[in-house]
Amino acid sequence: MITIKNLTKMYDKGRTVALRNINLDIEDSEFVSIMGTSGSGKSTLLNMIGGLDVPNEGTIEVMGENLSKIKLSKYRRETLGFVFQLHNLIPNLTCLENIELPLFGSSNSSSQMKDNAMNLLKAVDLDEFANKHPKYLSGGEMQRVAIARALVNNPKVILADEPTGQLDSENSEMIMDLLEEKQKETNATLIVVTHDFEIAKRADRIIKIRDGQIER
Amino acid sequence: MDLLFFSFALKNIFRNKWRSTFIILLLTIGIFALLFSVTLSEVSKNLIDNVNESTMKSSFGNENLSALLENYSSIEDFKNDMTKSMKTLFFYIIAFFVLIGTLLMMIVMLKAVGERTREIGVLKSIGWTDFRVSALVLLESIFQLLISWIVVIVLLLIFYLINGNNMGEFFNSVHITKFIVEEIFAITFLTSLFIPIIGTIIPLYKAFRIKPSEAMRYE
Ligand SMILES: Nc1ncnc2c1ncn2[C@@H]1O[C@H](COP(=O)(O)OP(=O)(O)OP(=O)(O)O)[C@@H](O)[C@H]1O
Ligand SMILES: [Mg+2]
Repeated sequence: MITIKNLTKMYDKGRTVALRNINLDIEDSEFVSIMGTSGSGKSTLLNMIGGLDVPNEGTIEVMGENLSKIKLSKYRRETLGFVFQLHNLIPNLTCLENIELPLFGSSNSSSQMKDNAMNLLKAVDLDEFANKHPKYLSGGEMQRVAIARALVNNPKVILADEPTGQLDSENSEMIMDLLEEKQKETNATLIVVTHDFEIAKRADRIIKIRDGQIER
Repeated sequence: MDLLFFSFALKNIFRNKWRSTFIILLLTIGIFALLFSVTLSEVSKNLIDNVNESTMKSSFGNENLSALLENYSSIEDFKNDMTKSMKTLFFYIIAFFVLIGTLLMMIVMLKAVGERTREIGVLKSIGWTDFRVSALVLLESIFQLLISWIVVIVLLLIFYLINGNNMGEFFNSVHITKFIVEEIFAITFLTSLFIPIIGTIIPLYKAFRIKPSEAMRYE
């Protein structure tokens, strides 16, 4: 359960109000999509939930834990899986190594990590690319690797910021199918930011944001 | 796990063009300093060895020579003074090149920081602690240092093996060479130690400070 209360986020010393007094509850295992025009504050909201940035006012609780009171790196490592618009894979590492990255610092042994990562690569149907670098992959394939990376720590919450923003409709479908399938499998909460109504309507609920506020 | 960490650091060094540029620059400085000092000292050795009464008379003439030597007790004295001036001159020339090299390295390092901001953001977003990100950057700098030092030492050894006999004679007969080689090694050593450290502290500071969402807005 994610509970957001009176959340306000400002940039440029208060000159830009990206989010204005947001109140929102998201149930466990719910699939929610967030829609809104460019600059409405969608990414900002997702970043706050993901602990990538901190609010100026208000609180965010995820599974009973107040984000301002816990160690955010641990929260990101153990609870979250992120998928970004640009895959954000590390170009210097192979696909397999990219997927292993989030496991650094966990108690897993290196062979466990490798097995884990390889299984996920199989699950996204890219095991033949295990030892290739991301630049040899298509946009859709890179995004599939990014999803595998986001899932490797068995996240309770999956956050995706326009995961299909760079893809054609066929690839978008595939990515969303994959995300949903994994979400169902693991009972995770899935929050997807998107411009695309075709994608948004797959969710249990659509949240619309305009000028930093939730539309009712 | 740690193996992947190490290999990650190594790969970053070899695949990141700014980092490699830095290594190349460092090497260039080491090699350049070496060649420069050897070439210069050869010239100066010939120059000073040729100084004796008859050569000086023929180039300056009798009268000028006595005027020139007025302040010196002997020709030996004059030679010593000349050697000293040359040492100083060579030292400044080489220090100048090392300084330019250092400035270039600083620019390269600062560029490298900017280039890595996004990566730092990504690593943080997938749950790496500030400590771990810093450790990676630090490890890379240490590897870099080791690699460049090893290469410079190997090059020196090769150079010494090829020129073994000449070098021995060289170092014994020409004090200038010894003087300069020692100074240059000191400078190059210190430069190669401090610049990477400065180039590490900046990203460390950034890694600790920057919010992941902010870092990932960088291109
Ligand atoms: N780091 C920042 N510094 C300054 N202003 C920012 C920053 N991040 C976001 N903003 C501003 O906050 C507002 C909301 O930005 P946000 O990125 O959340 O929009 P968005 O809904 O995700 O838009 P898009 O659909 O284009 O991605 C915008 O006006 C943006 O300019
Ligand atoms: Mg956005």
